[in-house]
Amino acid sequence: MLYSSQAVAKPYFIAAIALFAVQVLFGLLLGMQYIPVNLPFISFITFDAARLIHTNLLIMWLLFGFMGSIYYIIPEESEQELYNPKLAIQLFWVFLSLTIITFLGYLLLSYATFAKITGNQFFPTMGREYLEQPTIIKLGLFIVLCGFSYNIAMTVLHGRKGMINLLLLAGIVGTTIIFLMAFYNPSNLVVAKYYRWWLIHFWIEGTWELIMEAILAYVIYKITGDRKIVEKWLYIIVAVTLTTTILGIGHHYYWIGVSEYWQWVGTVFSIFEILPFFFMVLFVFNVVNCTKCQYSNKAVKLWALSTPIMAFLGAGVLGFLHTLAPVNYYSHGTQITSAHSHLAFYSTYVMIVLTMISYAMPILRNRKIVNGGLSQRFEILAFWLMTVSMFFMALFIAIAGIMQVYIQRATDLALPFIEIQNSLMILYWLRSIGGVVFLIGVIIYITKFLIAKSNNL
Amino acid sequence: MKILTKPKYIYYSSLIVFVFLLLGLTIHTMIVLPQQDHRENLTPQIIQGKLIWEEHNCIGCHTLLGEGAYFAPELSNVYERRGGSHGGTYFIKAWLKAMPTNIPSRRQMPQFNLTEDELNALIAFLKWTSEINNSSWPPSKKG
Amino acid sequence: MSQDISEIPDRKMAIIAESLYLLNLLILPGIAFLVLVWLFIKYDNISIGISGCHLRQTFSASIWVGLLLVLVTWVMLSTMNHDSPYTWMIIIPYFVICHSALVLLGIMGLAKALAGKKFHYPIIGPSS
Repeated sequence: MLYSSQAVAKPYFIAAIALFAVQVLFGLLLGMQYIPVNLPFISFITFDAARLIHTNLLIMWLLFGFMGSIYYIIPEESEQELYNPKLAIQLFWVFLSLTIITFLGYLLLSYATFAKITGNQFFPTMGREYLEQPTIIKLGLFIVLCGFSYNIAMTVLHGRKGMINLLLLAGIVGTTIIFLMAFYNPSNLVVAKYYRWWLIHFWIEGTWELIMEAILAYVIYKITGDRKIVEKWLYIIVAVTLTTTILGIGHHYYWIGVSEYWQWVGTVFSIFEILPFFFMVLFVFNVVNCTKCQYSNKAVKLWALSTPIMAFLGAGVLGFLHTLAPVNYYSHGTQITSAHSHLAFYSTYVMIVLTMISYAMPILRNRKIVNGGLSQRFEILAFWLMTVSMFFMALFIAIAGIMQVYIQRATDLALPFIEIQNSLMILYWLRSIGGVVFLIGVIIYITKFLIAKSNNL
Repeated sequence: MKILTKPKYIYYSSLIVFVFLLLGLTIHTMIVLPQQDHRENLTPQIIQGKLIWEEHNCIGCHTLLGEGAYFAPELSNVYERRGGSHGGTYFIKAWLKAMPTNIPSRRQMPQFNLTEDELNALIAFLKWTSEINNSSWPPSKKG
Repeated sequence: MSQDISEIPDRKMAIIAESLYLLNLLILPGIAFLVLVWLFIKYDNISIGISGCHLRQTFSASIWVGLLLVLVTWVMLSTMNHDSPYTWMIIIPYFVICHSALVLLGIMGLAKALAGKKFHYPIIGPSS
């Protein structure tokens, strides 16, 4: 650790990992509700409540992970201490309490009660996918994001300005401003859906993607030690992201009731949305190749090299597949979407946060990395369990989706939704097994941190 | 030429060009939208229905215009699927009241205990949604 | 560092070969392959230099691409029942996984070519 204020990243990382485990646990419960086995520990919670926890905790812990990563990277890249480390810790506790309140609200109350208690009828913003948090929680989250942006901006503006930290700054300031869209929920459903995507799309395919690219570039720079070539690649990747992502939003506008030209705009720009991932794979294999580096932390290298490959498959290929308007006409709102979002979120955002944690945590905890040591072997095993099981989960869900589309939409003898679900049961079983393996991977991943102490030789 | 290869100019120019394109398309979309979404039919009852839809987290299981969860059927066309003006309202109301069915090994929908007014508002919202001109999606009546 | 790389002889040809392999997979199926065949015949494909290596590798890999993506898919399409969902549950994932794996290999080959290094396509490339 070059700067003592980088230590504020540690609680963020710990919270991120803990919430990740909870999120996966509820994901497994969701998967099991697809198979009608009425075990009490599965059906104690309704599907929609478990899904609220699964998706909302994902967003929260990824934000924790990003914040931790950025707090770690910024002092080093700006070559000075964080502007206000105290504020960073205070915001951590505020954000954690917001997350826990939201989690408990979803778990213990019915959603309608939760909406009533938090006064949703006065300013309705709840009940939209990914934006289910009560209005007051959204307000708190916005304040946390503002404080965070302020802290980072002051550090960056007073220090050395490089490609990586300016990109991170742009990413989080963009994230904060775009979050304002969460408070706009007009009573016309079509208009509400149109502007909801400004938030979801420009976070997940815009500013978050920029943050992800900057973190990846930072880790690769740390592995290879060659800043110049890393920045050259980052320049290309960011340029491609910016040019494709803004009008790529069109792929959300095919069937919500807006003008039909969005089908053309969305299709054309979404085809090119695969390019950033293409260049990311090219980048890591080109750069990690050129150096004769003997980087000691093997797990980081594994994470950093696999992230672009998996992102290319999950976000790139699976996204591309059903982004073309004529294909999307059949695949929209089926299990195919679910397959894409699982693999895309895991490969792009979960993996980049875990890459950063894998790089920064040993340094934050003053641990010496021992290759082949127990802790490293655990992490690599966890990597393979999680990545392979997620790959197969996405594959099984995608196959279920193809079957669903075929029976429900493509033939003349279209069957009702519920009738089809029984014929997909085998795939749902396989998917749940994938979920169990993934959870085992997460447990092993957490164990890695616990055993690190006894294994620091 | 050198100025063009500087990252920040490339970024600024692409951002400006595409943000303006997006804003232009958005303005045009919003101008022609009233012909697509039939907002002249929006009544306070339908707006109340949307709030009920949101406050009971219906997208936690269902999809509406394809967005939501994939655990239960698409509902943007449920009004037509269940009979439209010939009994659609009656069917959906009876359905919501009969939940949960408690049929073994079938997914269960919770009982939301909506009042008669709330049920009417929710169904009015679903009826309005089914009339949105959205390029005839979903491809099949079954959703 | 970049100067060292660009001085490697035949690096350009290696990059062209890998790019043609990717173009054949992504936007110009067939046409890019014909260009690659022409380059393979016309230029050195025996030497131990990187251009020879990449030409041999991409030529062989492209033939595999044809076999795996065109021939196998065509055989499956013509022998399986189009009215069964199981046909599509097999063919679509097969094609997608196969295609993206081949593209990823091509990207790695291109990354190595850009770095002025040799690359060996696992299984589908000749061993030397």
